[in-house]
Amino acid sequence: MAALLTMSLAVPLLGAILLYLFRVDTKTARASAFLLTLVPAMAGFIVLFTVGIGTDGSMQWQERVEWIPSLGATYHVGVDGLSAPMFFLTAFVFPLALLFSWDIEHRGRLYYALFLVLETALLGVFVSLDLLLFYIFWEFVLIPMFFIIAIWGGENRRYAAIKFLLYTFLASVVMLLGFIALYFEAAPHLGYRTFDVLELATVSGAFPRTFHLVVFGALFVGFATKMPMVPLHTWLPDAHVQAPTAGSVILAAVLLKMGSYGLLRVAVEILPEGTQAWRPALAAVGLVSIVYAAFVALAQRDLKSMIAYSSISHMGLVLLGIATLTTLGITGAIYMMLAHGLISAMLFMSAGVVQHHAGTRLIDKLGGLANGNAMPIASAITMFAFLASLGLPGLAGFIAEFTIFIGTFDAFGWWVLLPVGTLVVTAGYYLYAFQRAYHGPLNPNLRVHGDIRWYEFTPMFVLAIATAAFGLWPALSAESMGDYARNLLALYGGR
Amino acid sequence: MFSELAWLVPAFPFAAFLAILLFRGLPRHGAEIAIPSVFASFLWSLGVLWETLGASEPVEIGIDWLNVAGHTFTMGFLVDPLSAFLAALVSFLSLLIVIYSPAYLHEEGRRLVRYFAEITLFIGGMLGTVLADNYLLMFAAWEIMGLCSYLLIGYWFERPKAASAAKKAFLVTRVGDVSLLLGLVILYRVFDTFSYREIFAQTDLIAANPGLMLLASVCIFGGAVGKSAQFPLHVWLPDAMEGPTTVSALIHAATMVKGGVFLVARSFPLFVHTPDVFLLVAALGGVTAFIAATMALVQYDIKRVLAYSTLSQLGYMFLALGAGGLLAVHHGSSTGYTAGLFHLMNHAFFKALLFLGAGSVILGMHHVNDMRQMGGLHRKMPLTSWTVLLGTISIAGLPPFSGFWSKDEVLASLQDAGGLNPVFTLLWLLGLGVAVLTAAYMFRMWYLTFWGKPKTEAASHARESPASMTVPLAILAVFALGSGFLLFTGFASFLHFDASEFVAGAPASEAEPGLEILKHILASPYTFLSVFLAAAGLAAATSIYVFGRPPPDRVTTPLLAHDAHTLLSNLYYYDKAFMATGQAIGLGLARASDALDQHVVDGAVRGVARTSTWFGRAVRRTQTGAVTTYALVVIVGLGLVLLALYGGGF
Repeated sequence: MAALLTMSLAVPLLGAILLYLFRVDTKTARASAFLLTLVPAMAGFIVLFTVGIGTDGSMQWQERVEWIPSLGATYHVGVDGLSAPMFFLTAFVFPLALLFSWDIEHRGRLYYALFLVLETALLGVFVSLDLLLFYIFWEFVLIPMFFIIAIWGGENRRYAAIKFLLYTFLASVVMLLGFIALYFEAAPHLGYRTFDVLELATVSGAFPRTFHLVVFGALFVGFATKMPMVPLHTWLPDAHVQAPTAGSVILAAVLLKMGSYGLLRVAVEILPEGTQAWRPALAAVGLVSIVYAAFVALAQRDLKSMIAYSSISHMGLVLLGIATLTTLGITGAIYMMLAHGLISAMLFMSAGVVQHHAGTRLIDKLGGLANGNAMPIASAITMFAFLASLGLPGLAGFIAEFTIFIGTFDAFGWWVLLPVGTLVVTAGYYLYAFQRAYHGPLNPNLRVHGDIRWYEFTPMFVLAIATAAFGLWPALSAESMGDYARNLLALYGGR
Repeated sequence: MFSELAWLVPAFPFAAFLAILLFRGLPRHGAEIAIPSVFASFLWSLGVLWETLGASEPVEIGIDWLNVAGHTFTMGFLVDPLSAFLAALVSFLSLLIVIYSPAYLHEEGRRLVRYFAEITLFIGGMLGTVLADNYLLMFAAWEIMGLCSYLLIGYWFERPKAASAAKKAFLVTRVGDVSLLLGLVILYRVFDTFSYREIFAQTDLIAANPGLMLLASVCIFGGAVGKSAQFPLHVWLPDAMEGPTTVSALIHAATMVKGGVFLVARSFPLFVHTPDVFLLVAALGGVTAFIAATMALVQYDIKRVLAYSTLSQLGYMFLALGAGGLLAVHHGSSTGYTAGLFHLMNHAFFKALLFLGAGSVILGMHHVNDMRQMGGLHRKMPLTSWTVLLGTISIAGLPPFSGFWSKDEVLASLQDAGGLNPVFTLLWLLGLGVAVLTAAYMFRMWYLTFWGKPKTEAASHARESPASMTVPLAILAVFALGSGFLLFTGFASFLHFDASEFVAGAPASEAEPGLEILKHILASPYTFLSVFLAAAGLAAATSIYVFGRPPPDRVTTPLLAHDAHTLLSNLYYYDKAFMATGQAIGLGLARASDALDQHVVDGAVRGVARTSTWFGRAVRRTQTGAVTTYALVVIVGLGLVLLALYGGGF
């Protein structure tokens, strides 16, 4: 069991290679891919529920082997209160996304293989404690995602895929420069070269202030693009609208979290001085993203792009929570990453169901989907997802929101009015969309081909249960997040 | 024993909610689960109430729900006179309403499963709101109530008006909820806890933060304004009529709108530190009471008359609580506080009666709400007519019905508070005006519906409703008549607020014995004034709608009266202006942001991309479609990165 993390990384990748080597039919590929993703999923549960037990928030399940000794690069993985929920989220969402894509026939083997590769890459990002390793996984995420959009996407998939690839690649080049700078800056202080995040953090106090400011800026650009924060966000709506449903699910639920995860793990942990200096900017970008994206969401005509903008707004809350540098704010930010992962997966599945069964996602062309002769069950579960996203208490999103609000009021005072007031806008775009697309009489121009299928319902239902479970019983995971936040803030003189 | 397990009171309906969703194929569509579960809640809450009557100390039991880095959030329930009283009242009325429902909605068939699921969740939400021991849990239950009102108002979601009303209710109350949430955030900042008792006990912290406390109180009251549909957020409640009548009864009598009154009463120990907030409470209550009563005068939809009357009566409750706060702080008197809760109870009984009576009429008329098509139903539906008449007399405030006693107490407390702040004298006069209007619009409603000759075919063929509907009406009529007498049996000492427990230097307050209260009421000349005013309203309505002097259409023809009628029928144009403004701001900002996003933000990105077309061409060239090629590119790229590192480092 010691190699739990490595095993979780290896199983999907090996599965992908096997799928590629053995030319199995689509059915076999689909079933084996699904079964293989259950292995990391189980590991995800173990990691999430054990990470906080009997520890002070230090790294658990660590594995460390020399990798490129001449560079000082190691294969160093581990999880703590920050990475465990992300590891869990990734491993939990993948089997559900694969289940949701049960009807993929076009180049099915490649599709499922790419998802397996994507899972390894994403899990790798969340467990890597070595910046080089982290970077390799980070960039590796782009490749399968690029193909998933470019091959199985909508009409404008080429444009969206290239935009996604170039935009985020350029941003990560800036981030990479930051990594390299850290590597060289730390070496004289440590006496040896290393990419190890934990070790870099120990000597960062000796770095000059300018270094802190510049490098934090570079890292922030890279991470903020991934989250994505306004104004570096326009790749996201295009990518979402064009991506196949399962691709959108992974994109929203997991890929965006890479940005906020990286921000905490690398930038905030290693560069306290830079963080302090940039803090007002972080808060401002977060606030702008929250409010602005919510209003843009209200104007959208496509369900999917509305949900995409809603993601930006919610990720803005994550950034705001981080910027508070308070235990509750950071705990709330991590909780929001988890909650948004579960909820946005549900939301994109809802949009997918509408697309599959009604042939369009344009709100104006829909209408009355909740009627008994259209898709009542799909509508009910969509309602649930909408409510979860607008922060209904009892569901996971609310826990995140109120802790972030408390943190924000502590740190930034009355600026809290902006995110709290945005709750009305959030409720507005969801209910306005629901009223037009699902309520009212069934649109006579609409041909609805049956209600939700079992392979669509099951993953959404599982996500709904998880959303309620994390909403009613936050102690499941929030306590280890709190430990992480407290340890992190100890670097900042403990707040 | 009951109090220690008081969490069962909301747990029964919550469990019923899950069970109804789980067992969908039941012959009576979930009624067989809903009714026993609410009955169980009722019995349990009676047990709780019984124990509380004899208890000297509140019962609070909770658990640590969440520990985050030194912050502990607890969850539990608090049984004290306020929560025990409301839990019993809410579950009793809810029980009658769920018993009444299957017959009223018998045409709905399988859709009733959704109805019963949502209604049990609603009831559970209200009971949870009342019994919670902290603001956070209260807020959660409060939001569940908001959700259920959305779902139930939109029960017939295929009707565009219902869908729109549901959305409106949710969004308008959400504005209040945001204010409440803000209040909670402020409280947590100051107290590091959400627990009522811990917050109220930390008087030194309260005293150290007067500014924040005033803001927190105003924000919390903002939540009450939204939920209880007080001016300026009153616009959602009349539209909520689009839901089934039973839902209206539940929202207006037992749950939801009473949540706001409860919240103010619950927060009294906090508000007394910043008595200014009571002026706001009373002022908004007074404005709402008056404008809603005027609007009720001109409605023709029977449910809308009742809806506006609810707004107006809730205004009375806030008037009383506002006066009560001042009286508690300065006079050591609990009359206002008690009067507010006393009116809440009496209103709950007669408003449930009136709504269920209206439902019976609407069913008898085959889904007609317009009173101009009714008339003469007294003969056709005698039981409904008699019970609604009792409710009408009660709400009009004629002795010895319950509404008389509580309205009198409300007005008396306003008059008392007038000695402390002259604004309250004005509000007292406003309250007296509302008393005339209430009697007038309620008897107008009764006459139009039941008196005279049937005005349509439907009215002449109307039939009395089945016993499962009329029996609840009869039970409620007994309470509408009799609940007022509870004032003389110790109501005032049970629901009594003593500011000296919370504010240093405030005068202590002793509850007046019931008989003393009765003596005061009978000896006061103002009692006779209020009876006289109610009688005047009754006389006006009788003269116009029974004797036709002047005939109803003539009342509205003189020029000024006509303009007034148009103004009132259009709800002072406030509703339209409110919604139009909200929409213009919301959608306007939305469209502007969207345009900015497409043309400026993304435009810039595309501009950059266009100037580097060579890059695009290069990308196109490499798009060979073979995964291996791409993988190769990445590996080579990584190699280059490593080389760069080597080059730089060694």
